[in-house]
This record gives sequence, C-alpha cells and structure tokens, in this order.
Amino acid sequence: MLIRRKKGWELSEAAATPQAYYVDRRRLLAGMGIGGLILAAPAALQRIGAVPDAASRAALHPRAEIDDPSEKLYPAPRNVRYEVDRPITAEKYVTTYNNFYEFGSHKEIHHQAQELRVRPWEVRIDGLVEREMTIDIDRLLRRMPLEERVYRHRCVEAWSMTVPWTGFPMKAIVDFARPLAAARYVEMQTFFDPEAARGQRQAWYPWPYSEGLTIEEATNELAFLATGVYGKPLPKQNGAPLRLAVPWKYGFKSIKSIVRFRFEATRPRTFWERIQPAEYGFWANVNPHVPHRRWSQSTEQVLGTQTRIPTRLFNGYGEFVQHLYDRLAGERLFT
Amino acid sequence: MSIIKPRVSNTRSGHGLLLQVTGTVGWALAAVALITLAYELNAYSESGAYRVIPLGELWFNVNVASLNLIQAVVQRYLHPFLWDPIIITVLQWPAWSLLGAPAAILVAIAPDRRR
Repeated sequence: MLIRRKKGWELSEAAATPQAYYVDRRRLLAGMGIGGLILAAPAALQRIGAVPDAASRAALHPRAEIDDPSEKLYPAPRNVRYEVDRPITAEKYVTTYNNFYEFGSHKEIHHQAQELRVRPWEVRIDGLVEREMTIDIDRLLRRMPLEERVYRHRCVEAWSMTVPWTGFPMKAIVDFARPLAAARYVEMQTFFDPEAARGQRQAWYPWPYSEGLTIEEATNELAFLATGVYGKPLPKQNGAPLRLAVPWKYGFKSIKSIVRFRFEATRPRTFWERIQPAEYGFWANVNPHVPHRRWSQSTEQVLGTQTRIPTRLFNGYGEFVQHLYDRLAGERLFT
Repeated sequence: MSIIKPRVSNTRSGHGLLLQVTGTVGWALAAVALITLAYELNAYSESGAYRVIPLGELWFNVNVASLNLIQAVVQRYLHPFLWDPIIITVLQWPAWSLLGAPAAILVAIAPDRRR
C-alpha cells in the first residue's frame, strides 16, 4: 500500500491558481489595490499596465541570449525533490516585475538593467579560506553541477512567484572555496558600476549591495546559486550571471549579480541593515505572524493571479530549515 | 482730504504670523546650510581635499527612512523619470547651496523685528 506523506512545502489543489487569473496581469494590478494610483498617473499606466508581446520580450535580454557563452549549458535536468504544488509563474511576470535597487526602486527596471555588462565577469572568493582566488564565471560554471529547481519566491512586499531556477547548490561553492574552521558567515557582494546602474549614482547609499548568511544556512540543501531561469541563462534584470535563491527568506536576501563571496568570523552588516535595520534585518525569514511596518505578511499576492493566498512559516520550507534556528532564541529571526 | 490707512498689526494677523514663521524657517535653513558648509571646510582643512556634501547625503544621514520611502513612491506611483534623473540631479547638488538659497529668500521677505 502506497502511503504518501504530504511535504511541508506542498499546497492543496484548492490553493492552485486558476489559469484565467494566472495569465491576466491587469487583473493582478487591480487586485493589488493600486489601480487607482495607476489611473491617476497615465504615464505609469502605460508603463506598468503593458503586457509585453513576444517581440518585446525577446528584446528584453538580447545580450543574455546572444552573447552569453553559457547558453549551451541550458536547460539542465530538473531536481524533482524541490517541486512545488503550485503553477510556475509565467516568464513574462518574472522577467518584467523586478526589484533591483541598483537600477531604481520601481518595478520596471528590466529596461535599465540591459545596461549591465555580464561578460567578462569575475567572482572573487576571499576572507577565511585556504586560498583566496578570482575565477571567471564561465570557468566556475563548468565546475559546478547545474540543475533546475522550482522554488517559491516571497517578497517582503507581500507578493510571490514560483520560479524554475537553474543553478547549483551554494554548498558546492562553499566546498570549492574551502573555508577555514573560523569562518562562520558568508558575505556576498554585487557589482559596483554607476555607469550601468544609475541607482548607484546616489553615492550616499552604502554600495555595493551586500548580503550574508551563516555557514549553516549557506550549506543548507535549499540554498541555491542561480545562473539561469526557464531553461535559459538569467536575464540581467533577474541578477545575471549569478544570484542567490534562498526561498525560506524574503526576496531582498537573494542578492543579484554576485561578484564576491567573503568568508568571515563575525556577522557582516548587510546593505539593508545599514539603511533600515528595523525593517530589513539579517535573518529575514518568512513568517506570516510578524508584519513588516508597511506590509502585513499574513497573505501574499501570487504574480499572475487575482487572489491572495495565506503565507506559510519559512515560506513552506520549514522542514528543511527550521532546525537552523532552534538555538537562536532572542534573535530577530523574522525581520 | 487725507486718506487714513487702517493700522494693521502684522503680529496679530494670520498674515503676520505666517511671515514670522517664514523668518524662523529661513533662519533654521540658513543655520543648517552654514553648519554643512562649516563641516565641509573643516574636513578640507584636515584632509586637504575638498568634498561637497550633497543634499542627498544630508537627507540620508538625517532620516534615511523618509528618503527611501519617497523614492519608492515617486518611482512606482508617479514616474521613474521624475526621480532619476530629475530629483537625483537636485540631490547631488551641494546641500549648503540648496538650503542657503531658500533660506536667503525666506529671511529677506520676513519682517524685521527691529522696526
């Protein structure tokens, strides 16, 4: 007799998104309650309400499709251990509704992000490691075991999506770096190029963007470094050529366009901790019962749908990561 | 025939109160502008390199939450172009000049209490 135990990350069929909503972005915007604001700003309506057709989508990331020498690595085989019981979000939403603070604070940064040059691209590994090194991204990719994983992604702004990332476990790069025993944290940094990323011209911000994980988090099986999405190399607006995907944390932890991994003995101060530590802390684990100052975290709007669904502790990945935090009482684990 | 103008006390009317507030705000802005300029000059005397403090940096140091929030509101609900490049350009100007100019105007139009 087959006994099927429901995984912690699975959702019921009733929670699945109806296809009619799944493909209708205008309804999503109305459902999010910002339609009135959009109507008040005709220019914004034109920009935000437009659903890109096939031709304009192809124009969104021409360099990634033409110049990226890693293109032949995709698609990679899917690791079915990380399937989710929720429809994969349509590519047009994932590639046109982005947060990438280096290019601005709005959601239409996929236009500006095309200014970023992703080749050549080097990754620095330093700090408490056996041997510091700088490695070309394509050499690194040839050494890493690429696979596809479907993860839920939950933004602190209370929207979510389901994304088929391609990449490799972060543990693989930790093993590759060979950290010393004293290393307890991994700090990651993104690029600094104000010519390409206009947001970085605001010199008062503590660029480059940085994020951090404990070694235990970084080597957890869920921690993933994405290099592709939808069976293709990552578009620039999604963090090409290398980004983090930690699905049990809010999206701002999943740093994009990484150029550096630094292994440290003490906890690094992240970009957002330097700016607004009360709102965007180091741990930032998803918890529906701990609201953000501006957004309730109890429910989430799935991109491409009109309805909201309940948010789950650790974004539904508790069985993988809960044990990481059992001894951290007193820490602000959910901010 | 002489025309007798009604005597209006500026200090008792709403208009007068507004002018006094204008003067107070003007002097406050002037004080911040002077402090910023003094900070720049002090840093120059110590390091030998002159570095202007842009208005954005001053705003960031005084209240980063409001800077962050207003950027998001402007870019998401008004128009991205309004923030970048228009407002960003203004925020990159020297704080002392951006505060000093309105300060001078406000102080000039405020009533002189010595009269």
